Amino acid sequence: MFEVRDLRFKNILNIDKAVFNKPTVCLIGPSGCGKSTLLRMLNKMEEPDSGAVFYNELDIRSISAVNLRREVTMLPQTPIVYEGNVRDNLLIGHKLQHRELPSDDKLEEALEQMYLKLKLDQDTARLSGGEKQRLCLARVILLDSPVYLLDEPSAALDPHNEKRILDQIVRWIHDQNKQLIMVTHAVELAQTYAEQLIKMDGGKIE
Amino acid sequence: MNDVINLSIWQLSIAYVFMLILILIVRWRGIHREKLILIASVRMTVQLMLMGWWLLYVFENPSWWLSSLMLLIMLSFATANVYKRVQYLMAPRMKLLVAGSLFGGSLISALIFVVIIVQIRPWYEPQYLIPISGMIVGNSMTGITLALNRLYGGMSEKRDLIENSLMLGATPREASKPLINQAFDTAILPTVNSMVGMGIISLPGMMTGQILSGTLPTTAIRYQIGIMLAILGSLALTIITFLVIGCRLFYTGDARLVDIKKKEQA
Repeated sequence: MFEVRDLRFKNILNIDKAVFNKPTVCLIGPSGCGKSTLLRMLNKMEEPDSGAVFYNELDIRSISAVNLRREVTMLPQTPIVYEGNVRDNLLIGHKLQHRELPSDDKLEEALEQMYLKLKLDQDTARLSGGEKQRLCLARVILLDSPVYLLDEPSAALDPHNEKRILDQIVRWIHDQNKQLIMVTHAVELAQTYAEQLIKMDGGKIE
Repeated sequence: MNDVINLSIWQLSIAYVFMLILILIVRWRGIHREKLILIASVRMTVQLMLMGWWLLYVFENPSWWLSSLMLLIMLSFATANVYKRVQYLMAPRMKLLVAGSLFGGSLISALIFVVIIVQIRPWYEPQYLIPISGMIVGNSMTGITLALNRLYGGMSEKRDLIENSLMLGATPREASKPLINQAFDTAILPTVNSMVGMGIISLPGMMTGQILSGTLPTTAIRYQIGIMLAILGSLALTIITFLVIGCRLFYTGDARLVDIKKKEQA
């Protein structure tokens, strides 16, 4: 659960108070309205000029950034694929956190969850935009974090994949008692999935 | 071996024919570099003459403080040169680290070479200490410049990748590890490559100089081998010190990447 108070950042954000307390929260609004910046505030990828962010009632300034990000996993808008094959890409999160590596079965399960038909030894250089995005989603899902911040997670997906993948993620979030905070510019999508809908415009919450 | 042939001023002045040839060529082609060539030749001549007299004085009056002063001047110029050749704006802490790594890495290697390997007594004997340190400092300077440009370049070009690693819960050190290794590689590669061709496609300067001045080639190559290894050691020390500490300066206390700015194009 997150709460922000008196958050100010350059001329991008100006939020008096917002509480994110439902399992699925959608942030919507026109591009450039500060959605992504607000999301980046929640895992300390951006620091506000003034104001505070609370995670489970704890001021995030008192939590180390690395520890916070290991609980609150963010997926940026552009899918980032690392050098190497599909397996390397799925394991990178665990490696960076020095965690025990999941088995190949687990990795394949994550690919399946994202409806990806890729071989673990396959090189990632020639994947399409949509495949890259789903690979990145599979990577963060494997981390099994309590909170997910997803920035336009379906931007590179066709409508068919968009629906079945978001369905899958939202179901998983509910089943596992996690929280999802998702930025999207698609109002329809947000209305389908969000238990809490936050509309932003010009750096403010409407 | 024969003594070295002393070059008279008159003999030397004939060599300026080469400069005149160059000036004639650029004038003929309309390249407009006459002034620069002239200034460069005059600067080279004057600077080397001053250095010759100065070194003569230092050699005739060996003292620990004079040798140390020479080292200090050499290292300061090298540091200033690095600052000039880096294409990015460096924070004061970064500049301090560059100077520290360059001073530390070069001095440790030069002293090991002079005191333990060649066993020169006293250690400050300028005839040995100064040229040897000069070579070591020069190579470390080039290496750290390469490392700096590569590291800054990587940090700005791969910003998305590094941020993604941070979002996946990496510490700054983990997130920048691939960049650090690449920068290290870039910095040592020219030196390692030059060693591959050494003796076949190039005769190194120090060895050539010693041979010209009458040293047996078999002695000259031993010095050359020793100095190459010392240069390698100095490069490794300077660059790893700089990279390991330097990569932290790209992050805030909250493990966020700082903004990287290029110098204004002149």
